[in-house]
Amino acid sequence: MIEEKENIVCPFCGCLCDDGVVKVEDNKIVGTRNLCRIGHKKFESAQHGRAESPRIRKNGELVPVTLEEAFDKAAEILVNAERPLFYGWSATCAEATQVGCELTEACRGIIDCTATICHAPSIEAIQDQGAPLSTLGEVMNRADLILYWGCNPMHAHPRHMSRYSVYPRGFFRKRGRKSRTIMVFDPRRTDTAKLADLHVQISPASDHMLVHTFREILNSYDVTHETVAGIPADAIRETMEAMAQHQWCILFFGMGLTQQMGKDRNIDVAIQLMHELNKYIGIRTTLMPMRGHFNVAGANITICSETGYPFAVDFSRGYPRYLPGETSAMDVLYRGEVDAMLNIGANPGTSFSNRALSHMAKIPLINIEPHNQQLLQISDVVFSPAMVGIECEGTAYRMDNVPIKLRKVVEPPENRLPDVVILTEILKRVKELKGKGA
Amino acid sequence: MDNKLYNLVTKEEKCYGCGNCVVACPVNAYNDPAVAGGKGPEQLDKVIMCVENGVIKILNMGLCKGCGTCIEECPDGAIGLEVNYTT
Amino acid sequence: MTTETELLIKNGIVYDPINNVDGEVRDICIRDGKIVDSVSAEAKVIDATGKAVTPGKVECHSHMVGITPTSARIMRPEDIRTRVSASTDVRRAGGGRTVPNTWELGYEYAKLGFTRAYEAAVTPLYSKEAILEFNQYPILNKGIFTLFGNNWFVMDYLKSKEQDKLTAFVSFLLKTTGGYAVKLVNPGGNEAYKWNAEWNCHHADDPVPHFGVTPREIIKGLCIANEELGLPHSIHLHTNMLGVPGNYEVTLDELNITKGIAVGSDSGRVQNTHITHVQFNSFGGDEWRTFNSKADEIAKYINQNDHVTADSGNVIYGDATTMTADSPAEWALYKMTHNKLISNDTEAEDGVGIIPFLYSKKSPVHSVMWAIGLELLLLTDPWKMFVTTDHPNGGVFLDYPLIYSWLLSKKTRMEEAESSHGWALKRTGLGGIDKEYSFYELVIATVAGPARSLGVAKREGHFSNGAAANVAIWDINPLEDDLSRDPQVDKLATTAYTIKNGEIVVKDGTVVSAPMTPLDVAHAHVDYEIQRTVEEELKTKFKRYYTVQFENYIVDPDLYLAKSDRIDVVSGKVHFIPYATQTEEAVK
Repeated sequence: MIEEKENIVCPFCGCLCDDGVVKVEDNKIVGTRNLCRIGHKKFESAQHGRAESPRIRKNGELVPVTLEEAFDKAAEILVNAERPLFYGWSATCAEATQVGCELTEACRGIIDCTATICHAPSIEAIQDQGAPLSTLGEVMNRADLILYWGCNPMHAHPRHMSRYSVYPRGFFRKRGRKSRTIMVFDPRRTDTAKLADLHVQISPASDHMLVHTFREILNSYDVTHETVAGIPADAIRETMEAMAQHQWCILFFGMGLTQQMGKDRNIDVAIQLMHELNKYIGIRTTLMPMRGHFNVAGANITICSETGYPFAVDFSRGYPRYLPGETSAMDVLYRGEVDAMLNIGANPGTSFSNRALSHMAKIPLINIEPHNQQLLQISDVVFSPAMVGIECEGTAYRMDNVPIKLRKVVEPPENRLPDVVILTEILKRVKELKGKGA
Repeated sequence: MDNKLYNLVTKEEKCYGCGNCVVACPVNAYNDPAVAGGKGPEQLDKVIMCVENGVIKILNMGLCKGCGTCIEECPDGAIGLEVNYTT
Repeated sequence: MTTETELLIKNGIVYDPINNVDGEVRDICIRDGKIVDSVSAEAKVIDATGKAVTPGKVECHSHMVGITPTSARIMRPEDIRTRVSASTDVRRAGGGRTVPNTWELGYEYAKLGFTRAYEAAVTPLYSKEAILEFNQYPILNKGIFTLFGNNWFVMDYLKSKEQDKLTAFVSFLLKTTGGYAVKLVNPGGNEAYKWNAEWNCHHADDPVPHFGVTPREIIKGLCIANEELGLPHSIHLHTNMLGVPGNYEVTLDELNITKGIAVGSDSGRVQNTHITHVQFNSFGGDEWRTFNSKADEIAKYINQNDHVTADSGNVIYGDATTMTADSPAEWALYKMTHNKLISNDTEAEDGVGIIPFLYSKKSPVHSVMWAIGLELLLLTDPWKMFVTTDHPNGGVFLDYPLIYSWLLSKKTRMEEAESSHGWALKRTGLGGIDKEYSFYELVIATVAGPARSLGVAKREGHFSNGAAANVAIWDINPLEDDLSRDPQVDKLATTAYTIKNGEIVVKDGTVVSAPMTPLDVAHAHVDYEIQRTVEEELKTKFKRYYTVQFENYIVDPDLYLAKSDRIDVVSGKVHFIPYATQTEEAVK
């Protein structure tokens, strides 16, 4: 018999849609409703292609072992390491990250999350400028001007527009799409741009200039160039005037702004522009980073409340240190400092550079990942956990930092433990081994 | 299908499952308050379409009046109107 | 009964204001985490000869956990760097002054002799985050004040004049989001701010845009709901127009709203309104140039009226991080300083603002604010005015001993005043106040008063038999030392011993044990019918107001509140159900 489970939270992207319906028959996921194509695929494929668990590399081959043996081996690797790196945390729950922080501290290692290669510039800009933020419900209820800058939600966060920003009929925006103006700033004619009222097709890598030009106009300076970022100055002026006609504005920005030339400086000026719109024109303006993984915001929040810093936290001296560019994952790998690594809830196999990966291949690597991914080829201890949000519960944070409890839909396969349990077991053994050594 | 001037046709292979059409549709929003607030439909017998298994699925073609709002909100042409000329 | 759970504190100079004990040499006996009459000869003995022994202090208003402090931590790595602590066998690593990480907060509060603390403002939508943090917060008992002042449902029910539904909603929201008390921040004003940074509710009768209700109706409605439910704590009120010259009139006006509403709880409190960090709301003058202190007016009102208690919200010179749900106040600070501002508006609920701030001795305004806080504490009955800094808004909790020293000693206070800007004495009445706190009064303003006001005085905050054994032992002899000459700041800063539930957690300023302690959650019972009606209405409105599902908005008790003490309130009677017995119940 097919059972329909309601209000299921989708553990894929930062939208964290929580109105999903998942159809389960005989502990098998057979279908979904309301979830987008990506979310559906996440649930549909969750029970296929799972990595065997647990395995240890012996004589160059990953061979299945008992859980006990794998825990012991993982603890041994971490205790013998001088500078272990604990990376990932974006596709696991906040509870696991809490244990992860304790584990990092016990091993005097470095903890970093995937934000280090996506929205870290946003965090650094917030450290410079603060930020006017809001929750997605505020956008739904109040926004009449929505700016998407350097992001393409139609592909990356498919339900973002229909659920949170553009289409829902908000409390004060009763006509939904017709009550709102959409502007997209993107060098490409993306599917999001096709739906916009105005697509500003800027030349690549000139975002910083364009934001500054907006600020120039707002601060009553003359725009001296005829075109900026490939856009005629008059058109920019008209855009600014059009923006000023609105009441409540939000800027959603993505990788196109954070990982573009200028990085955190792009966000820095964008935040200043938002502050100035609030101050000079009296449109209420806020902004929001389009976070990728379903719990990357949660990784930042949890690591920050546990250690005081949001990412790239180094415990080698016993107390937390935070020096992005020095203690961030990519940098310690580039310098070859790391002598052991634990990866959880991330896939550096596809997102890290070859130089970082080649160092990872040299060192013992513990991998906690449910599926067969590229990184398994260089992993030394592999755990296949229960998938959080599908096979076990946990907390995740939406892109606006709202915490939502992930639900359990089906029972995990045999021998698949939740991330929290795996990390707690490793931590227990690490503490025992450290106690013996002292 | 019944003999209406307009009929909805869908191309599942093009659909992202974003739900723009589901939420934008005035009939859906009027019949189901959850849809008006951007959520997935709760009363399946009262809405024209919903997203199932990650792609668009027409549930009640009879409710459609052919306004075409859904087509405007699809960037990929996954949903369209078919015109049935009777004479 | 094993002897290990027994503890005898011998010959201490005991201060226990709830039992009218003012500096008597006597023994305190502890068994199984509770105060008892006597213990066996095998009990572990702490010699407290010549040392002051007080119940553990109670923090009634501090911003420690939740999305606000965490956003501030993300924004201010420079603050964490100012003070770092390495991990030991007992404690986790951490650091920070104005926004320390969760672990650090627990240890440092315990070192100051605190055994209970309340998080002052949590937006219900974000309460899971606060609870997750509190579950990682060692040593202290804790609770959450839930924000109600700008909630759409509250304003909806006030607009339709359905007080019974409002009462049921308050009960529902506290229960389902793990709250302990009703907090109002700038009632109505934040909703206005969400439309335009310059908008606010400027006085008690300034209507909220769209909803049309006034701050007066919100305060009154929530106070009545609070008393109808009989919650352990009264409403916790942050009045409108915080930080604006001349706001004392609004403060007095809004305090008067709840006068005459009968207290409906048997938790031991006598007030129906607790006004918080009142220093920021005791400003006179028309603008900053004519700025002066109206602390005397506020103190007069509070002394004359029993329906109010307050905490001071003192300013301490130095670096602070202002964070409050009062976004318009933070916006005003932003325009003044152009420092980095985080604001975060939450759908249908409340907002928040965070901005780093430096209180300077050279600033005339800051000097007056510094003096107002002390004036309030010195002029008001300590049973009604408690010491806080609204951490980290006025100053950092680590600096509490400085405030104690200024209260205990006029000499120390005047030294600070004279090194401040001249306004500290010209624009306030501080110079004319000769009062000096006795150690007993200090214990009232930091332990007994807050414990009674928060409704925990039946279980702790004193040394009666059966009370929780939360004890602070100080290396101070108030009977012999003249604290008015030398208030011994360093000894007020760390206890000789802090004892939590009969366990020694701090010894000579070092954390020796860090047990995890439960969170208090208030479960107020209302009529089943009305509760169901309200829940059905909420479910319908939720689809339009919120972007999360009703079912996912509710905090799952098993995942988040498994280790929480339940405060059951049935028709005004408070029943304390510790989590240990809850699991027993479940097993049965």
